[in-house]
Amino acid sequence: MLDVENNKVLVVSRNLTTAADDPLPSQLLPLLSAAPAHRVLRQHDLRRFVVDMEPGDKYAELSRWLGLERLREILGHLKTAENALRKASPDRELQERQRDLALHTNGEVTTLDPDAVYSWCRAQSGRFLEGPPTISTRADLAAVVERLRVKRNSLITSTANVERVKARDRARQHVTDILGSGGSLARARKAVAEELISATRLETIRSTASSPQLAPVWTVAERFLRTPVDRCPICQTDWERTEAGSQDKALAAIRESLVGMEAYREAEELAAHTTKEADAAVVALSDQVTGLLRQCHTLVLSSTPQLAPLEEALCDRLREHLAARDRERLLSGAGAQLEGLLTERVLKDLDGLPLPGEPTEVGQMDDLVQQLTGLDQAMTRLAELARLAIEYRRVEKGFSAAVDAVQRRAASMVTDVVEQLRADVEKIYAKIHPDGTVPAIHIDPDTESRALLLRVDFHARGRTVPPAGYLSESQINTLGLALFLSAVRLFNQQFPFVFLDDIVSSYDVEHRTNIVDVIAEEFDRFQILLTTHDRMFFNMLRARLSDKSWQFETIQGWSLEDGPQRRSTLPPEQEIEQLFKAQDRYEEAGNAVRRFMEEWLDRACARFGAYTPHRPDEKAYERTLFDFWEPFLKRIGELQADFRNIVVTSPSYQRLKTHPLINYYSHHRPDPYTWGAMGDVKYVWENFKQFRKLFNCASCGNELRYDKDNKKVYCGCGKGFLSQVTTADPSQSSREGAEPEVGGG
Amino acid sequence: METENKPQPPLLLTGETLLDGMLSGELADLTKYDADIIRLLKKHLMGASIRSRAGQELADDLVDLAQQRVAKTRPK
Repeated sequence: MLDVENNKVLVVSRNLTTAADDPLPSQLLPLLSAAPAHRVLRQHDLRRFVVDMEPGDKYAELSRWLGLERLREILGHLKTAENALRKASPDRELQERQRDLALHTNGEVTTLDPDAVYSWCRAQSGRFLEGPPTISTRADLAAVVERLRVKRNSLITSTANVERVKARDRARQHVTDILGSGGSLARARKAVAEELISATRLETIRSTASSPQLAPVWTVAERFLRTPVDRCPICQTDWERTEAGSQDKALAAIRESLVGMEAYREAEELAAHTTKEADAAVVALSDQVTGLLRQCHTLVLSSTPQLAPLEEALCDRLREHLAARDRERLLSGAGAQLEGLLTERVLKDLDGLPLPGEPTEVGQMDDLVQQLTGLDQAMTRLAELARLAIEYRRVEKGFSAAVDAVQRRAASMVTDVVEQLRADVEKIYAKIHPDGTVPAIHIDPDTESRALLLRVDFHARGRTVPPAGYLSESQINTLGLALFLSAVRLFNQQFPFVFLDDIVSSYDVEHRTNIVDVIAEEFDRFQILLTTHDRMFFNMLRARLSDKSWQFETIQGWSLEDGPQRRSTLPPEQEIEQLFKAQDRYEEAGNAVRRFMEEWLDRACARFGAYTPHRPDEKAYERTLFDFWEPFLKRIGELQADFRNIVVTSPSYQRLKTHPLINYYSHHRPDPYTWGAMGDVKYVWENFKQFRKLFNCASCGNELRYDKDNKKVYCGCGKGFLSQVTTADPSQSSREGAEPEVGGG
Repeated sequence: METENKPQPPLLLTGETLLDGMLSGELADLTKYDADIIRLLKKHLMGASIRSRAGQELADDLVDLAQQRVAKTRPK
């Protein structure tokens, strides 16, 4: 395949074996996705879409052509985004924060109105302070809160509850110091864990180091043995007779031992250090717990009995000289219990601690401070949320606008494309069956039920029926062919290629002619591979398409080794010209001319409605020149006057009409045709070429058509029939090739 | 059999090309559509393959967009 735009060639080849799997080559996948409509049509496929496929399968096919799955995916994601965006809207938090306003103002302020909120704060604060304070900003509010706290504390300290309040505050502080993220419990856990790690490492090294306590001895020995001596200084034995074998080996062994001892010494130092740290952390923790317990005793908290044994475990046992592993285990258990007790019991006891004799204003001021603090937080957040809501709505609106545009376009796309397809199918159908009643074709996809109904109007407009059972076989095949060609033309624009495999078997000559016209006129920018076993159709194609750069081949034979043997076939006119060049092949040339004339006349008779009877014998379908020529001339005499006059007055018509060879060879004879000389053949040929031109449009060059209903000769280009007649000089009429121009319309 | 070189008709708009075509065409009109939103649509929904969570990720980016715009307008 040639990519014309990029001038690249894609070559994909593979070995095929009968009955073996033939997976699609991956190089073709991008190509096929760009051209979703089927590219190969066989005779038996003509009915497939129209009759054989279920509505669901038809929808699946159309969906593939239209890329509806991709569209569905995109619309699904847009819907998901819309829903997620709606859920993320700040409106919900906005409402909750406004409820906070109402909550903190005892229902008196329900919307974000700073003036109203501050007014409420002034009124409430004024109950406890000497008159309503000035509150118009957050800073003013914070200042009032501080004044209230000071006032509240002064009320407390003036009563006998001061010691209980202090004890409570100290207890709360102890709890915070113990439980905080950097609190004493966390620090103790960390230190004890590090102690365990270093102790474990020390054990490991100890197991490998040899006699580490002798490190100082080995150090001295190493220093001594750096100087060569004759014998071991310890046992006074010659080195050769010692276990080491030499002074150097002894020195190396001592140094190796010293390395291991060094590692051991370091591990020992580290273990000692971590133990010291763990001791300090445990002491700090136990001091905090002891302090807490003291305050709990003072306050007579209900959780005190549970706290006491934990204090004992942490203070007494943890401080004993325990192995690292044991200490870690003890702290783990006691620490977890302590954490749970403080969180679940002690803090709650402290919060609910009764303080008899406390002035009621203290509680009220506590409540007011809490309300004012909550109001400040709510207003701050509300202001932020209000700004966020504005931007959020802008984004939401902008997104909705884009989504609406996509949805509108998607809805209209399906309708538009299906209508485009439908109109094109009708157009191609009408070109193939111009004489019959063209049924209005309905293609109705239902995206909800994923079904597609293909129906036609039958007998009356609006009376829609399925094609099967109402249309003839030929009409059904034409509908299938039109659908296929329209789909290819519409959806495979990026890959304009189509393969038509023997599709005309069920058509007569007239309709085959029309199919050839469709191929030639409607698909001129397509690369088309067309196969046929029908010689007549093959010749028809050659005659019609030889001037449109088509190549023709015939398969001459087949062998197992080489496969089909193809031979290029020249267009018939070129073939005839080639025969003329060989001066002695006039019989062949004559037969070629005769066959050409017969085939052209066969089509022309069908096109213009000339009645050509078949022979009532065993060779009923082998009609000769005479079988076509006479009826055609008769028919010409019945055509509209202006066109008829052009034809009958043309020199070529006059010459051929009375030529003895035509008449001679028009009669059926059992013997093969014999031509007198090449000159005879050339004369007939040249005049026939001129005669043939009379039936081609002068504007576009296509063959003229005949509207049987209106009895009118016209051209498919729609330019209109313009007869342009030049007066022929009788002396000029004898010259070959001199012909008037003829327009079609 | 060969084709003749003729000018090609405009490509048909199908489901495969609809959004890509709109993002390059109608939705590119910045007088009607928000440029940042169109940019996000291109980021998440354009191209041959779309991630399975594209919708949610698009929504997340839209929320981020609103928050970034608020941050720019926040009083100092």
